[in-house]
Amino acid sequence: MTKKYTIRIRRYDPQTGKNWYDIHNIYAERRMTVLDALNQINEHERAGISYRSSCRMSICGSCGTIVNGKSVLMCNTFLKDLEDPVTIEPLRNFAIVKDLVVDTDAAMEKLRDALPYTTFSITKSRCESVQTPKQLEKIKQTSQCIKCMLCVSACPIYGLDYNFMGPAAAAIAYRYNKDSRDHVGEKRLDSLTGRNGVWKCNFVGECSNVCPKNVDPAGAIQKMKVMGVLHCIKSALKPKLKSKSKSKK
Amino acid sequence: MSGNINKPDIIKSLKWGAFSVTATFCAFVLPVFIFTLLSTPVVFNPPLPDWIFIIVFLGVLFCAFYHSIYRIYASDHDLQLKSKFLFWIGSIIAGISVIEILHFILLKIGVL
Amino acid sequence: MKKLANTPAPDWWKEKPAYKIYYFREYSGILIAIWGLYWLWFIGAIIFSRIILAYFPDIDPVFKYILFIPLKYYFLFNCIGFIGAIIHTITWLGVMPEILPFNLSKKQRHLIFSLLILVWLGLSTLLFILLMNSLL
Repeated sequence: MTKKYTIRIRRYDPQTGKNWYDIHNIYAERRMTVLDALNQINEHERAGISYRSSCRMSICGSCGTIVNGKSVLMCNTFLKDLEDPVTIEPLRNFAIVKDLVVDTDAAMEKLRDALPYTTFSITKSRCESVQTPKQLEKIKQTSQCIKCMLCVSACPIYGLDYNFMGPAAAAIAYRYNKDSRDHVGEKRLDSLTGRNGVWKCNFVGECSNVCPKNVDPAGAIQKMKVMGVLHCIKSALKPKLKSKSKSKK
Repeated sequence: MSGNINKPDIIKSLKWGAFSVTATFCAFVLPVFIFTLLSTPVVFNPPLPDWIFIIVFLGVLFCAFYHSIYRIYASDHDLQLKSKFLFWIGSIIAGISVIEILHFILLKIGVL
Repeated sequence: MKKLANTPAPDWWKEKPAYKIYYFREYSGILIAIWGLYWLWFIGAIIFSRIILAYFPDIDPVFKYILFIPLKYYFLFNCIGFIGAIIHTITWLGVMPEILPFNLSKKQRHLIFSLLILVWLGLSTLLFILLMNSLL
């Protein structure tokens, strides 16, 4: 059973700086994804479209594009679920390198501010850090993040203010802050509640809608805000104690 | 590197904290408050002693003001839409004032 | 090599329902701000008129007329405020379950939202009855 689809692809040539839409007609089977369609177009029509893809099972998070106005992973979206003129565009809020390939470095760099790692305390008697299933339950949802940057692409505030850390970094920070093995929580909250931190989020909520792994970055940011307020009040009340302990060291 | 300074912004956090508290307060109290104002003009015969009523009224007014102004201020990244919205509000106020002036002139002349 | 920056269009808020809901929620603040401004005007007018009328009882009618304009629009501005307040309440209570520091499933969030709405309605009727009783 095949059905005809019209596929519009936004192209960009960095050498000439041109920007146009390619239109291709393909006959697709029921189980065909958008990524398969692009592969087919490149193979059969020699279109030479550039795009990123790797795992084809929504684990690597490299094939993020905007399909019919929604940020999705191409390997995760079936053609049968889409309305007929299927428009494929590169992710928003990033610089386009070529065709559908975007430069996500700016957002990836911001993940550093979230200090995305746990530090183990070696002073404990046991070297390995143990985590119970109950403790894991707290961070299970947010730890599913695959850094596909769909949330950043859907965030209108990131698009209008590039200094904002973005939903991806905030969600990851929440995941590490809630980790039972973590010991740099205070430091992470310092950087998150900074000038370009979570306060810029206005809770549009689209980042949670587009997330392919149901990480819910929007909810994580709101929770971070509450934690941040408490943290800031705490740090405002006892700055003297901190400076004293620092001078002792 | 991103320009994130690793230092908590205490003022911003307090602002947001105050916003969330006032917004929650307004969410529970404001509709009833305005409904009571609509159903009976409470202002002219206050139910509570005068000074308590004034404090309560000013408190509610302050909360309503703070959270609404925080919201307008926070969504300042889209000035286009806001200017459109403010244009409509401005035109309504201008319309009211024009009607008032016309009404007043007609009264003065003696038509009405 | 020059790169094309892919920024949102000026009318980006039209694109998705979530963006529209966002603006619907945020701009209830403008309605409430109008209501607040009206009340500042109202209170100012009342205080000012009391002072003026105490010292100059036979004041120019033009001035008196201008002074009492806010009394005429009592109903209109309170209606604007009421609409804004209702929108704010419903949207804010919808947002509240997200702020709670627990991981909740969608079903639990809906349950908390409906509970909050019930609490709000109950509190409202209680306050209304109390206020009306003390009035009468």
